[in-house]
Amino acid sequence: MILTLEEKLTILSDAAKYDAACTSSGVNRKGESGKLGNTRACGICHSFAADGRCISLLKILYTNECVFDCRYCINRASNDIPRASFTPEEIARLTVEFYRRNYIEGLFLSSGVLKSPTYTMEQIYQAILMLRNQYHFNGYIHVKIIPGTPQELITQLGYLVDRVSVNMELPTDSSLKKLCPHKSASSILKPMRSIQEQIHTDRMNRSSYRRLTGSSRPGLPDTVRESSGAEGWYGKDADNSSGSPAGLSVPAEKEMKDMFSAASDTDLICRSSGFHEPVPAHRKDQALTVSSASPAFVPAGQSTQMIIGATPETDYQILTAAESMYEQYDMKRVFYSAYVGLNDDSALPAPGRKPPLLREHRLYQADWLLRFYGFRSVELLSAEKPNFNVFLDPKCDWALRHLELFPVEVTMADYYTLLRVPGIGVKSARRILAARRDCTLDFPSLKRMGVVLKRAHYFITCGGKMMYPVCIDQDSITRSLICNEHEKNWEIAQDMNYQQLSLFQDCNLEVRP
Amino acid sequence: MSNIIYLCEDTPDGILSAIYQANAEKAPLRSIRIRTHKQLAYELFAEYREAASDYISAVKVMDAVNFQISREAGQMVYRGLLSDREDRGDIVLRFMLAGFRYGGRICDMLALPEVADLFELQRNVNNESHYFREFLRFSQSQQGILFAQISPKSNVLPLIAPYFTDRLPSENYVIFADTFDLAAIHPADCGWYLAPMDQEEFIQVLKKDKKEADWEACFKAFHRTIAIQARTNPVCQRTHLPLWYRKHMTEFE
Repeated sequence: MILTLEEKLTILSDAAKYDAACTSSGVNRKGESGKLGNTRACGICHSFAADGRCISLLKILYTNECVFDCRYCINRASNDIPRASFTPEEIARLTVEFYRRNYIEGLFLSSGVLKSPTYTMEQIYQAILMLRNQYHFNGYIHVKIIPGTPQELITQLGYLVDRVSVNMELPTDSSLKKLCPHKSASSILKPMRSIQEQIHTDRMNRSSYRRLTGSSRPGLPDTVRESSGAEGWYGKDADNSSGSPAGLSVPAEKEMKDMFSAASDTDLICRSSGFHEPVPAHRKDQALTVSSASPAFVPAGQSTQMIIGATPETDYQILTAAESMYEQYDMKRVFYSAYVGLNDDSALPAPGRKPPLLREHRLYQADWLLRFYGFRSVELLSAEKPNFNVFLDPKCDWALRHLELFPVEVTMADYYTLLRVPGIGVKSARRILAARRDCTLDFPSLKRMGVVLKRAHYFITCGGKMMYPVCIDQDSITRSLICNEHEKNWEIAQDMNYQQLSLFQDCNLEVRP
Repeated sequence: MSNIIYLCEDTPDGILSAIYQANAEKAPLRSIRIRTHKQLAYELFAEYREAASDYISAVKVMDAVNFQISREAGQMVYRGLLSDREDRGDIVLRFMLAGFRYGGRICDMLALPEVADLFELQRNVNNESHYFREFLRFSQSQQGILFAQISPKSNVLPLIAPYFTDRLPSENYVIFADTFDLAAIHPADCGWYLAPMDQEEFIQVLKKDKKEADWEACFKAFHRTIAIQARTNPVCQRTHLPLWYRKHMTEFE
């Protein structure tokens, strides 16, 4: 049976849709005459599908034929579904024609395993090579690496694409053994490590990439974690839990630290003197700017993803796994994909169960806290409290458990303290820093700067005053935060703190009949 | 509030010329209003003054902002002027007055209402132009030219054209904004320029290629199948992609 291009696309995008990663961010590349496309570090979404997820890249599989038999996967060998494969030519034409019409930002190519991982990855390599060299495509390409791909192939691919990812699939080794008989922790971690090492070598050879450190928290300089740790923001194991980035021999790491120590020291001095607030590094600085004249190895870094809700792990285990990915493998992103029941399998939750979307949402919120707000997983969750609060976002939840640190004075607090206030994000914290140099702040101006006062007003003072009289009490704030309706909030507050005045009762008057 | 209202053309140049003229006539700058002919609702007890569009005086005003305040302020002012808000001229003028007083640090002084107003205005324009970078859809004409139609609220063409020129350097493209009867035109491997164009002209000159339907069908199929049924969430989709942007989008036709 010969399938048309449209039919193939339908089958192979349908098979690819459960992959979570669809970002086109992390690298700036200018357009060039004679070539098609550029990339933007901020990433660009081109459409939104009916499920509300963004469509940034042309997300397809090279083939959905697969010799692996992962229990949760729709394309597993034991499923009877229509199968199809693209040719390199078809992939290149689809990408280029879609891209010219501004439908997509680039290509996301994953695949089932046809014959063997090596054979499949060779086909993918051919497709990408054709796209880059014959079609002169200069846009974003994200390729999924199948566990078991030989090292040389990864190296060659890495210089053609912008981002690669190896799926960790499940948060723990035992679940992986149970659900993916053909994959093992070592076959997944080995390519991750080798990609990390090659990225590292490549960046060290580029003088423009100054901010390179062993840390993977892109929004935060290393000094933050160290200095804040001393002040007691973090748990006691804050300093020793991050392993040394592998692939770096110890002397190399030391040398690197020396190289950057000058900059770090000035940062620290500025912080402690309190006069010169550190202007946080703009995110733009973190993205690599490349040109096709000197291709970089995987300029947008690597990412990974795991499935949530197919196995009995707690949020704490998942978040710890993600954190170790960020710290030990320099991941740019870890994606969480709520498990959608597809296969009727004894090892899995029954199909038709609703995917755990709220849980996925909470994990993403926590993920942002790890990456941009200087939080650690042990602060948000613990073995005793292993799951997120359903009603409150992780930051509010944390703040309510640490009311002794609040209220924070917005006109005085430093950047990293502001970041910890619920309702204040990276942008509004920056605006506050910039604005308070020359002006006096008040609550209306905070609102204009993007502070979400609905949440923040319980935790801040501005000029020594709170916005409303608030009882700093965990229960009362929790209750007010959970209730969205103002009337309900009002009623609750009335009930707890105040009593309605009554002319007759309070003044001991009696009503005559 | 004084009752002097300057009337000008509905372009950034027009508003800047009005500001120049108001300053030259020694009008009370803190309280005058600037309205464009397009968005005018006459009122009683107001003195209306005509301001002719003049390129030289517009450049003089922009130069004053760029060099006496800062480049960043210049960019904020220009983007603010591209908005469709009726009172954008007033907001820009108040910002300039504050800017000449405080100098370059004005852009960060968000606690001042003048600055906050312009900040919000230009942020809306920025956001809208970013949306059109994402949601604009090209079609290929019989001559091989890529063409797109958009209906923006703000005049985003000068902001999105450089972006598409960098992205598609060796393609011919035309982006037609029907709300402004204006088009951004880019011949392959050249710069881009703005030209007046109306709907009829646009439809007559640029007709879809025969093969175009196939690619459109492919993309519609892709857009349909990539959604996970179990997660269907139209509210979330609408939040990220509001309905009014969908007017000229291939996948929602």
